[in-house]
Parts: sequence; C-alpha cells; structure tokens
Amino acid sequence: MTPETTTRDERDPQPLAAYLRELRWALAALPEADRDEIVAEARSHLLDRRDSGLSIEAAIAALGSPRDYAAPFLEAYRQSSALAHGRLRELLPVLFEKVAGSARAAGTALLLLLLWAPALAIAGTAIVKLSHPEIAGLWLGPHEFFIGTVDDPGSAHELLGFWIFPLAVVGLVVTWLLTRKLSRSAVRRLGPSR
Amino acid sequence: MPTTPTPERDSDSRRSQLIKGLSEMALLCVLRGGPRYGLELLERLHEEAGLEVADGTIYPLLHRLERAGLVAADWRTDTDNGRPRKYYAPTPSGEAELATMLAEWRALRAKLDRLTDGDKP
Repeated sequence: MTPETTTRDERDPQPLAAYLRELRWALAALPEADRDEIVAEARSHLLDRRDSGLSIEAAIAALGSPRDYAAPFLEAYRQSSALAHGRLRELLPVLFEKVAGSARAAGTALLLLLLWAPALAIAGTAIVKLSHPEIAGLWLGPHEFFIGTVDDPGSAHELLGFWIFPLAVVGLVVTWLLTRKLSRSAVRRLGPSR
Repeated sequence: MPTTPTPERDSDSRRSQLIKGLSEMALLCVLRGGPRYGLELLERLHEEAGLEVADGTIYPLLHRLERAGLVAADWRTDTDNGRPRKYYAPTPSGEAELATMLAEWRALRAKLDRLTDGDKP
C-alpha cells in the first residue's frame, strides 16, 4: 500500500482536512514520499483519536500546530541530509542551530572558531602581502612574535617571506577538511530537540 | 515577566527531561511484543510504563528510529475500521540497540540504588 492513497479523503471533517493541508505545507522541504507518509500517519492517528471518543479539535490540539508538529521531522531530515551529502553549507547550519542546547555542538563550534582564526589571519596577511610585501608577514621582534602587518618593518624580522602564500593555502585547505570532519562527527552525535 | 519556578513545575520539568531520555528505550521495549501502530504505542507506554508521551512526540521519535534502521514500518489495513495504519517492529539492529540500552540502564540503576540507599539512616 502506498501512503499517498491515505493522506486525504473527501469525507474527512473540515478541521482535519485543513490541518493536514497545513501540515503538508509545513513539510514542503521534505521529499514527497516522506511527506505523504507523515501526513498519512497524522491522519490515521487523528481519526483513531476521534473514534476513541475525542473530538477532532482536541485530537488536533494534542498533536500540536502543523508547524510545531513538522519541526522535528524537518530537523531530522536536515540532519540526515547534511550527513549524507557531507557539505559544509548543510552541516554548519545544523551544528550552529544546536549550539544553545548542546554542549557537544557548542564545544565543536568553539573549536572551529579556534581553528579558523589563525587560518584566516594567515590568509588575510597573505592577501595584504600581495600589495604591501614589506609590511605583511610573520614577525619576530625583541618582545613579539605574530602574524600580520607592522608599521615599521625595521623593528622586527620577517620570517616567512613569500612562503606565506603556500602556507595560507595549506592552512585554509587543512582547516576546511578539519571543519568538515569535526562538523560531521558532531552532527552525527546530535540528538533530537524533542 | 520572569516567573518563579514552583516545586511542582521543577518536578514536572525534571520528570519531562527524564521521560524524554527513557522514551526511546521504553518504545523499543514495547515493540518487542510485536508490531504496533503509533496510538497503540502511546497507550501501552502509558498503561505499562506510566510514561505520558505527547501525541506530537511519538511520531517524530518513531520516524527517527526508522531512519536510523532501528525499527521497520509497514502500512496495513486493519479490519476494525478499514483504515490503513503504519505498524512498527524492531529490526535486528534495534534489538541489539535495545539490549545495549537495557544493560546501561541496569548498570546505572544499580549505581543509583546504591547511592540512594546509602542516604538512608
């Protein structure tokens, strides 16, 4: 049996038909087969509740608004889709949505920030070095060691020279790969919100 | 305006968090008895385990277990009302997962029992 044959019936009471229609809209991001299954199961549940003596309005209220009811399905779909594709543009939103409620997500997000900070600092310095090679680089002075730009190039010794360009590329690639690996690992272990 | 938590509300919140964590294990336990549909699972969780799982919570949970391969589902038309219902049953992976959960639960319960019994005068 295919669930699409059970998602709607012209004899459904009006509140039920309206609820299922709104639920279908709320689930629009899901593949059609999944959407049909979820709507069909909600319909089956609400009619069972009605048959057990509850009003259809009370049964709908117990299930929650279409948007609230759809939310965990959408979240699970985003999570599994992000893991299946392994794309950062899908993994990172899932991860950052959970930061407030998950120590694992918060820890991973913090680690990613710590990884990206030096990678971006090196890349940014390399970009400046393209136009102002004399002031940008990795500097060692009497009381300092940093990557960036200096006002007075005579006050410190620059260590990298043009090696900063391959270093910037390697840094960005390695950080990107680590971000992907850490994000996948964290998203895989994230639980549902409800 | 912030509300002051009452002891009853604190208790409800703690109970709700605990139930959330246990519901997956309890659900798989109920499914050991044979294939069940959502409303039947809700009623059994309530009657047999005293768990008040919300109507809007059970189906996302079942959906997640199905996607994780821990339960399998199929649509059947029941003879009582001629309507199709989605029935769930544990897969071998689900049974293995349940065995692991139960072992962890029993170990935790034994430790908690020792801890709480130690508080007795």
